[in-house]
Amino acid sequence: MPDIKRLYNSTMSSVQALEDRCNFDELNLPGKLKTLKADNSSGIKMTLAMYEQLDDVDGVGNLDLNKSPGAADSAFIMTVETDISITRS
Amino acid sequence: MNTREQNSRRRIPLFAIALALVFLFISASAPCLAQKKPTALKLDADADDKQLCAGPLNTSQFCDFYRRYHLDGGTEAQRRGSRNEMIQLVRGQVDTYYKLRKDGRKTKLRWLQTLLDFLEIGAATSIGIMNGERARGIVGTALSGFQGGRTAFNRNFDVLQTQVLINTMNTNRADIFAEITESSTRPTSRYTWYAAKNDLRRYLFAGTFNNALDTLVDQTGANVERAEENLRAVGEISAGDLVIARTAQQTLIALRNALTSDSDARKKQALDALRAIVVALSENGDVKAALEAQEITTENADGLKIRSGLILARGKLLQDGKDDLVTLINQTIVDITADKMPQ
Repeated sequence: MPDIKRLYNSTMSSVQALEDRCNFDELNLPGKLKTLKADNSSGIKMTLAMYEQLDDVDGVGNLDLNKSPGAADSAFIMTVETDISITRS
Repeated sequence: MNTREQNSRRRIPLFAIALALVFLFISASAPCLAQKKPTALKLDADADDKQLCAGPLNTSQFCDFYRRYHLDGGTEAQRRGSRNEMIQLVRGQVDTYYKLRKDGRKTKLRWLQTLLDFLEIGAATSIGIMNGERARGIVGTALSGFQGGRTAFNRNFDVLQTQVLINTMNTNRADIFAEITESSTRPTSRYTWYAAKNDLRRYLFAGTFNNALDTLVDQTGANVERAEENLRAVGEISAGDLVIARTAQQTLIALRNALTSDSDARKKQALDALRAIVVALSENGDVKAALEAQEITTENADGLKIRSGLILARGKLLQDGKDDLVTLINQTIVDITADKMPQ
């Protein structure tokens, strides 16, 4: 199954708000978050998320996102580009 | 009087009318140049505040603030106060300039539309009362050309489009002034006089039609890119919606376990619950359409197929940005299963 691309606006108020959004999307797509990337290539700040699509809802919705300088993933939080680490509990 | 003299006399008033029309058209469609930009934000690459205050603004309030800000031995509170007072002073000047430009453009457009109405109606009436096929033909052709030109003018300078630009300018100005207000709480070492002036200049530019057009072009470009990918940016969800989604996940797992169990009673309970969920959701036209796209109706007898169809339809609605319908599905799954499959 092809990956699913999602866009989040740059005004997410906190990393927790982004984590809730990603967990909600994992539960309802259903899918597993693979990457987050802060994207400003079009002139508008947004966060690009890639999800691996799944058949069922097992093992999704347990994401932990944290600020982590130097992490491979990134997102706009309050329009500021922030490095994010993605783990699961 | 010979024919040549008569023709020449007719040409003079026609020429005068044409000249007057050209003058009216240019004066009405030209940008409003009469309003003067605030001198404090003078657009001269070599101008600085020291020069401005030695020249045209010497006795102005702006220069009082400038001198107080740069006073030897001045306190931080004095500098900060001078900077913030200057911000408020120049902001007022920029706001006045913006209002005059904006109102001037609107007024001139209204006048021009009235003039165009007058000319168009006049030409159409003339055709009705004019003698001679040749003369009617000429005025008719001229009227067609005029109407075509007016359509093109309206397309480029329509009042509605002007309003869109003004809305964009208002948004840009509000965003920048919010930044300035936040910055004005900082000490002068972190937000200097010149940083404040640069922000005020951005505030001035944000109130120009060219800047608003640039913003719209940027936004439209980005929207097109999203449209090609069929994507739209979404924002936060409520904590309650996430809780319902988690409960629905547990319920869907419980339904699958029941449908694949050895107990016929449990299988029937789960199938009845899923059918009831489809019935309840079919009351919503959008959800019904999403379910039908997955070939799920109230007639289905295959519980596993109904369940996977529900999951797929919900995922599609999420990708379409319909978070409210996703939560409606989750809430219905939770509520109906609690009734039909008591633990």
